[in-house]
Amino acid sequence: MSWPGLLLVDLAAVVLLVWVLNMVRLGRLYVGYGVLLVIVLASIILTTSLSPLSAAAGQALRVFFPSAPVGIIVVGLGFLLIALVYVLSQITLLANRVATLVQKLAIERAQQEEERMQLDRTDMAEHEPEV
Amino acid sequence: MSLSRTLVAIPAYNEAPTIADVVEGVRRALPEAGLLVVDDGSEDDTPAVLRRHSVPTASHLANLGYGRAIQTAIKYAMARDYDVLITIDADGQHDPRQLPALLEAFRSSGWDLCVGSRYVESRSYRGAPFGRRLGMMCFSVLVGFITGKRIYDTTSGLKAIRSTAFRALDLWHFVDFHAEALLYLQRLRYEIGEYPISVAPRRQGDSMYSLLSAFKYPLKTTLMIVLGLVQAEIARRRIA
Repeated sequence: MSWPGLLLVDLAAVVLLVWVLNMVRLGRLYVGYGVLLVIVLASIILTTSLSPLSAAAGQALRVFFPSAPVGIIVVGLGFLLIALVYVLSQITLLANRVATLVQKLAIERAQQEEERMQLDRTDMAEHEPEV
Repeated sequence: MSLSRTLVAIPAYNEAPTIADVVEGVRRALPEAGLLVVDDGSEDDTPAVLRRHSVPTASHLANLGYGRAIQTAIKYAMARDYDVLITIDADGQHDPRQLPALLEAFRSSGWDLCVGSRYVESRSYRGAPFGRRLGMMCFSVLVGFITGKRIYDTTSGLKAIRSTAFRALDLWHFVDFHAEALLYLQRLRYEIGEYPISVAPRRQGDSMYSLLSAFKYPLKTTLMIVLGLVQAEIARRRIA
């Protein structure tokens, strides 16, 4: 791959990394997924920044996809990674909504229970025989 | 700061053998304080034990994890307008008889958050498994390095928190309410202190830390520490 191509991949990986970190910060991406994606993106940045590693990665791509140009494969893998981040963020969104519902329901029930217990205590105190 | 405005929250997941003792211990130690057990989707007899002991319980329909259980306790304390929230583990490792002294130290110190600490007196992490000891030491040093004030027991489940601090915590999401939450609060200028406590060995059940979490926990916590610092900085600039 040419150096402008490597620079482009590097830049895209950095943008993706910032996007992932920001989503984790805002709670839109589960931190566990965030850790995995950070490791993957950091590995991509490291690979493209060191020429022996990028040459080895290019060779490996040619072994797995012998007839396709490396640039097309890299763009395809990039799209897959973006799609993965999007799907994981949607899973996180759903999980957050479920967690919020579960928490609200739990708090609502606990408050009702607490109020009922208070009423029971008041009733018991009122009906206690005077000595 | 009245005791009736203090809530003791016990997050519990599959703690049927110990939860009754902990609940009764808390009731004896702080009879005027509010009590809440957050049952985090237990699959054992924990709900039945709690019903038998007439404990107000916030029951999660599914297991959401320790951090979410603490969040539920914070939201409940906010809804009921409590001034102080105390969290204590349900596994019986914390002796509830230590609560009045911890609360007294918390009140007199003016701290916003008080951590019941196993290591503040001895400053040695002996007794814990090697991996956990290493993790605790690293995160303790990291907190000290970033804020200039070392917290020796960042993973303690026994904490007392003032309402100003737990309201600030509700504005951000934390993972386990450990180093990342403590650092976040410290960066927001909340005062955090440690009070020495003793911890008994676990009698029943399993720890929430598995072999897998030995790899996951440091990575997740480190990432959340970095992002928590960014979040705190953004919040401070917004306030300023």
